[in-house]
Amino acid sequence: MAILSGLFGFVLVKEYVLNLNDNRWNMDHFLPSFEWHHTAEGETFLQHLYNGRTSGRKLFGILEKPFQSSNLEEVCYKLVFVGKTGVGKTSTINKVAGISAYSSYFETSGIRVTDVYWPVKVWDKIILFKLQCWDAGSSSMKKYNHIPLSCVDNADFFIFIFSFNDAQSFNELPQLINKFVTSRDNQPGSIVIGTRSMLKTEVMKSEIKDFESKQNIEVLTIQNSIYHSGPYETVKVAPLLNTICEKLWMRDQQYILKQGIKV
Amino acid sequence: MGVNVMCVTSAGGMPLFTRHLGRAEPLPFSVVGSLNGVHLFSKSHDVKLLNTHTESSTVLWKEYEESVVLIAVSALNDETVLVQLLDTIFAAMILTVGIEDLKSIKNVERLKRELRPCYLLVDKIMECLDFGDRYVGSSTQIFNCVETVLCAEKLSLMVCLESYVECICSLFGCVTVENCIAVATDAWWDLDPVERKLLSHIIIANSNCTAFDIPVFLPGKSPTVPFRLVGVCLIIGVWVTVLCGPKPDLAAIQQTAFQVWSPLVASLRSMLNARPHSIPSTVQLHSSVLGFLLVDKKIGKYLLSSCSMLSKKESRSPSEVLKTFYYQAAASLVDCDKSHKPLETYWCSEYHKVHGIRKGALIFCVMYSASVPTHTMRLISEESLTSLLSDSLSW
Ligand SMILES: Nc1nc2c(ncn2[C@@H]2O[C@H](COP(=O)(O)OP(=O)(O)OP(=O)(O)O)[C@@H](O)[C@H]2O)c(=O)[nH]1
Ligand SMILES: [Mg+2]
Repeated sequence: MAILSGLFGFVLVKEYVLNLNDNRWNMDHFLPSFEWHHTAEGETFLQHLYNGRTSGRKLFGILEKPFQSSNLEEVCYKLVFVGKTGVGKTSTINKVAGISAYSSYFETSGIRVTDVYWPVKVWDKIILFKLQCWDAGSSSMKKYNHIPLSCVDNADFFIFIFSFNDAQSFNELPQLINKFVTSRDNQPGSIVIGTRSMLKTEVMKSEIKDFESKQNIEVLTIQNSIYHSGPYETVKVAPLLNTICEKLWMRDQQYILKQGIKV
Repeated sequence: MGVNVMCVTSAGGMPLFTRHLGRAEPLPFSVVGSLNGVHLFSKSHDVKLLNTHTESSTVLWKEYEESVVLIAVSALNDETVLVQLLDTIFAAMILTVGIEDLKSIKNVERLKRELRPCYLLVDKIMECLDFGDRYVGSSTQIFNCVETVLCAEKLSLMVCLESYVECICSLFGCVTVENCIAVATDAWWDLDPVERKLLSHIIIANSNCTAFDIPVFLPGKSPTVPFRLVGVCLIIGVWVTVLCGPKPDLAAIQQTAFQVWSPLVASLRSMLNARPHSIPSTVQLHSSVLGFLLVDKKIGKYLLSSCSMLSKKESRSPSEVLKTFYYQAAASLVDCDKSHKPLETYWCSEYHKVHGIRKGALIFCVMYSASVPTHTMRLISEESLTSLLSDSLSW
């Protein structure tokens, strides 16, 4: 499990417990700030992620870091994207990673991993989230045993994708959620994202509401067909990335709290 | 100008897929049906239908494993190229689903679905051809040959690669810089050229992520049991890729890659400047050389180098000119089976000259500025080739 470095976590819990006792602060102080990316400091950090040549965001290899010199706290998580073929898993990852994608659709073969870096301000500290986005083509997922195994192994978070103009992709979600999340003991977090929300939709708003309450899972939407270039692109995906980071962060806090209580 | 390829089952003429490239319109279903019909008709009369020509295109049929028929319709009037094209496309189909599923088709709909991941490969294969049209297949990829770079760091990379593949219990590994092979293990070079090229296509197609793990059947070496092609991006632009068995899993391989390659990060960074020159700065070529293309047809690899200073008047890059020259003039230096085998060929245009020579299975094409006297091209080409093939570079 990708818990942030133990020591740091523990210190935070201590402070949290302390503050809770002293000042009756609420948990909100420990949540990532959603506005920070619009501040001057936030923008400076995001600038580092830009590729001047292509005006898209940069990717980083396994031997690289976006902020080489600074000693930013880094937390690493494994995110797995699941959903019917063609619903938009690969497109969503490309969107989240800020890279322009293929214009024509090719089915994904095997597993692709895209590491996405996202700086987040939590309380008074900037933390760099490294989100390893795992994308497996749905047909390879069915055909080869090792592919689903390799994907779910040590997963921290599942992102279930459906398409608003494909009712079946929505209807099969409970089954997928059951298969990937509920049966796991480390309780990975999860979220649902609907693509193609602008097109003729087969999935109704009321159905989404029902689903959210029944499954106790949040449903977000994304528009992958429009590609924004330059810094405006991060403005568009920031809410989604922040939501994911927040959920990951909360999960860790709860985990540490539990551990802390045990100790 | 363009090409249409379709694949149907031999038994029922059921379409499996069709792909097209360039300004070729996708063929209507009725035409596909008739093209398959004539093939079926001749087969039932024990006649093998090979090809036919219309005013503007060539049509070619080829049946594989008595199970599927590939049909190509192309404005590129060369049957040998089209046969190679179809053979390579069939190899891509094996790579995707394995030979067994293609030999005995149990469920057409399922096979159709399982073949979908190979569309990308089929498109990449078609892009390698030359259509004499700069907007079509404008990649400078050479058909069934992998692109390489010569770099000064070769030795240290090789040592590291050997220990990396050993950690993963594999023999097959390569390091690519901006999609060109910088070093590869002996086993990688022992693969069939078509296999190696298909793997290169996959590596290139996945260079917009940071790691991949893709099941592949090897058309020649392992058509029934899939390997895993596992690539890890070390720094942007530099990848290490291996072919391995079921273990270790991707996360473990990423971990190994981090450990083994960390000490080399400085050398890896310095390699990023290798292109478009693709040769170490220690190799000095004559100042009239604007670029060159060196192709080894036997191993199936090439080295493409272009100098960055270009006259403004030139609308095509040296790479494009060299690719066209290679296909239209130089490639036949090796292929032709005439009684006399030509050794050299050249073009002269207003802005540049191109000279091609053959040495065994090697073809060397050099692009010169127009000012170079035609008769000195041979001398400069020979000299340049000698320095490129020197032992110290070990291309
Ligand atoms: N209009 C619109 N099209 C989308 C959206 N998301 C994805 N698409 C298109 O849907 C097609 C399939 O998307 P992919 O992301 O490749 O699908 P996938 O889920 O990765 O599919 P597999 O790899 O087969 O499992 C592509 O042509 C995308 O351009 C969206 O939000 N809106
Ligand atoms: Mg996909």
